[in-house]
Amino acid sequence: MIHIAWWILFFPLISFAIIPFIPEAKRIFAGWIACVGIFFSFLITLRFARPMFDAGEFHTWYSKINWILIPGLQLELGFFIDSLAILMLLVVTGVGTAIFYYSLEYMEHDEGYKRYFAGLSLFAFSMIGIVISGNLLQLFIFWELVGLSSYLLIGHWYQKDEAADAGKKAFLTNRIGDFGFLIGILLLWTFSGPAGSRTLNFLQLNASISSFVQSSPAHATGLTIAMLLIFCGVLGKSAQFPLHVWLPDAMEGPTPVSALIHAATMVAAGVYLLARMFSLFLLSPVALEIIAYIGGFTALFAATQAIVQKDIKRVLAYSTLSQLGYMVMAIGLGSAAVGMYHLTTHAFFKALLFLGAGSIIHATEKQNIFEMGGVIKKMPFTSAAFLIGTFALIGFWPSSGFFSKDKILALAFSENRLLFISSAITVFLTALYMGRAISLMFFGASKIRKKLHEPSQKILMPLLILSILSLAGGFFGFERFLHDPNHHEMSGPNSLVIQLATVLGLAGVFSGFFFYRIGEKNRKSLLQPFSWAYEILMRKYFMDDLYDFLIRYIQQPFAKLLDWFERTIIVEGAVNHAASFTALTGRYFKKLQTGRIQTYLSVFFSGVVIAIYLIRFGALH
Amino acid sequence: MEIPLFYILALTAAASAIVVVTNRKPAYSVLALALMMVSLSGFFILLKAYFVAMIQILIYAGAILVLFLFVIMLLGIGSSDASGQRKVSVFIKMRRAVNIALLIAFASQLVLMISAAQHAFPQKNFSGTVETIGTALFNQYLLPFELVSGILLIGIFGVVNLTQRELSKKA
Amino acid sequence: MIPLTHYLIVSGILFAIGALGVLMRRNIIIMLLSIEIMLNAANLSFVAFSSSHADFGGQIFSLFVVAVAASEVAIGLAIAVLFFRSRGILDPNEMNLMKD
Repeated sequence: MIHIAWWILFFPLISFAIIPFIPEAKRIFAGWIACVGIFFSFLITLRFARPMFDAGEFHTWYSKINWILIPGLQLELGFFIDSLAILMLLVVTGVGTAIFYYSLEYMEHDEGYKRYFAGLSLFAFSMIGIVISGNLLQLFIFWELVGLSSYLLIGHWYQKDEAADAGKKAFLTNRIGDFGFLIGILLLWTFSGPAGSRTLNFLQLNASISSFVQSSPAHATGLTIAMLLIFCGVLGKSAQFPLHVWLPDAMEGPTPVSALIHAATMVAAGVYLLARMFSLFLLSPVALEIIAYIGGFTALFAATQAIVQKDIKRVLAYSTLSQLGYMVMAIGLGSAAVGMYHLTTHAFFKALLFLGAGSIIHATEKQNIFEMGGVIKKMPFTSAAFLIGTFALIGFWPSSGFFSKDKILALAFSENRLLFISSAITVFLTALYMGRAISLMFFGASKIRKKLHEPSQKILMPLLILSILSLAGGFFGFERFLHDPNHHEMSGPNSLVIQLATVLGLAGVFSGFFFYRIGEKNRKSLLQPFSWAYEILMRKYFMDDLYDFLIRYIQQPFAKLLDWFERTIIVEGAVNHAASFTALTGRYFKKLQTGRIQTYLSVFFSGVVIAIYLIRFGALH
Repeated sequence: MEIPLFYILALTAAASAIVVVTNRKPAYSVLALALMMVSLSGFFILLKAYFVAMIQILIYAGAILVLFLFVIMLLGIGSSDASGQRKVSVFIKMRRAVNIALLIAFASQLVLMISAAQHAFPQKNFSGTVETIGTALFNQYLLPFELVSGILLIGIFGVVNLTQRELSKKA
Repeated sequence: MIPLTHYLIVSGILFAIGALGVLMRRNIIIMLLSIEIMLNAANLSFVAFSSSHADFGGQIFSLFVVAVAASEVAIGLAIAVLFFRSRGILDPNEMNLMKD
């Protein structure tokens, strides 16, 4: 059992290794190899998950090999699979398989078909690596690999400037977060014990850190700093405020990539990291509180921006930001289980929404929702799938989103009223922007002149499967995989919260329909007083301008200073002068090399004579 | 009988070696070297190394020196020597003086060291015949023996390569 | 009975003469011949020590020296011939194409 766990990781890697060697003429095999690779990973994961589905038993598998063994530093490579990891693996490989299969059709005529599937496989490999890593350092390695593969996929259409820039933006923003993450890892390492017995292993980290915290009150502050630095990595990967800016731009990648990044892989990695290290975060209540506020703020902040977006993919991107904020907030409020539960259901319906949107974009070749309309008549199946996704995103009973979102709201209700209010507003806003998007896309007169038709089964099959999961995911018992280490029981249903959320959701959808469908003619006059708010939202709260200012007026002059220092002091002063000194001495010593063999022999022979004299007079004893 | 023979051989060897080094004509040098080889094989017989003595004459005098003679004849440099024709520069004169001083230092010190060592010389029933040498060579020293064949092979390759290039350039 | 020392002194004298030739003659052929003298001086020491210690190793290594000398002479003479063909002289001081 334990040895096959490696194959979960290696199947996508093998696909990645094979794909470049497939001849261009037979490139269709590249897609199939990628699909089969991740599907096999999924099957093995199911093998691990079965005892939990069957009997609710919790197993933990752990295995390692030693990597670096020097005195004072023991590093190992290993995997650690518990119920949390299995749930995450199910999401990554399961939703991943659906997206891979979908891509077969979606990317069929793309020039970089092989490159695309190689990138997808690498992405899956890195993400699985994060999930099964047995220690923080190994996790960090895969974490960076995820950053790299996301760069490759977002910039897949690198001929387009926007796509290339978006790839760079994602990579650089993540680097900023990862820098803090790395420092946090190193801090934790020093906290984990006296030199020589330090560890980054998840199994031992908890005990060693809790004894560290108990040893002195000052240590608690140190731990808070370390945990917040680790949270910096989450800020980057899971796109929380203020490092969220890369995610909307990442929409420049192919739509299945957006689905993969938003649902199953990249952004989920940050939340997964929080859940994986949750027992350590629990030791630092201050850090948890900050995390909760950042999450809650991101949820609200992103939801407001989603209202004004015109590109359907950007609407979904801001919605992802907002939902991620929910997850982070739930974990910050003290329940990793609730956060992970929402991650799971969100993976289903967000993948469904993206794939549905991709299907519509594929057919209409448009992304602006104002240019669509009436799609439901032309593409009923896709539209139904999209509507199911919307249903789940807003959180109506009995969809999967209802269960997870209700748990988050109930948690916020019992833990922090301020965050509860902001979450409730977010529920309303979510319903509002989704209602707006749907009314514009699916209903009314069609503005598309092209003849539309449903796509082939390669696109419809994943939509069907994900629809089922989104609709009925709440009844499959995914919460069995989740148990808080502090045995925090998941909050039961709270009728007040449920009623409030449902009312807010309905109100939101209705307002969306009202403004963009029924009362369309009066919209301009009704919204006239709020044009300043519209402006702010369109400019993304001036976040991009702020970053632009920071880079242009602060980072750039500093870089210029460093550049000057390097050029004049280091290169001109030190390096070049050292080089000219070497050249000068070389010019003089060159004269010793006469090129006359007998001179060399004479020198050699005099050396022999000197050696003989030294031996003779005992100098070499 | 033994002691006068040793001194005759030693004188012959040293004298012929000096002739090799000083003679203007390379052909004479080669012949003097052949004489030195013969006297050395005389030493080997005195030391009861009969097999090595035979090899010394057969291979050195018979093969290697003949090769030298061939080359000298081929190049037609019967009496020419660079030092005779060209003006000797100050640098080379200086180098010569240094060389001679070095050699005197070397030889004197060597002789002093050796005479201080005072080795006994047992000899007993020890003699290097074909049989004893062969037994040792193909048992104890088999690996070095095989390696030497590698050196010879590389030598052959080297010579063929060097001369081959010469041929192809002409063609 | 001749002591070992005598053989070694003869060997040393021959070696010194050979070294003199290598260092001072400006003719590649003579230099090669002088190298042969040096190798033979070493051979004499080998055989003398072999008899002194009643060990065949020295004699066998003198055979190896002969083999190495044969290879060295073959290659050395080939180079000498090529050099003479291209430059018309045998002065090793003119072997300076690789300089600079």
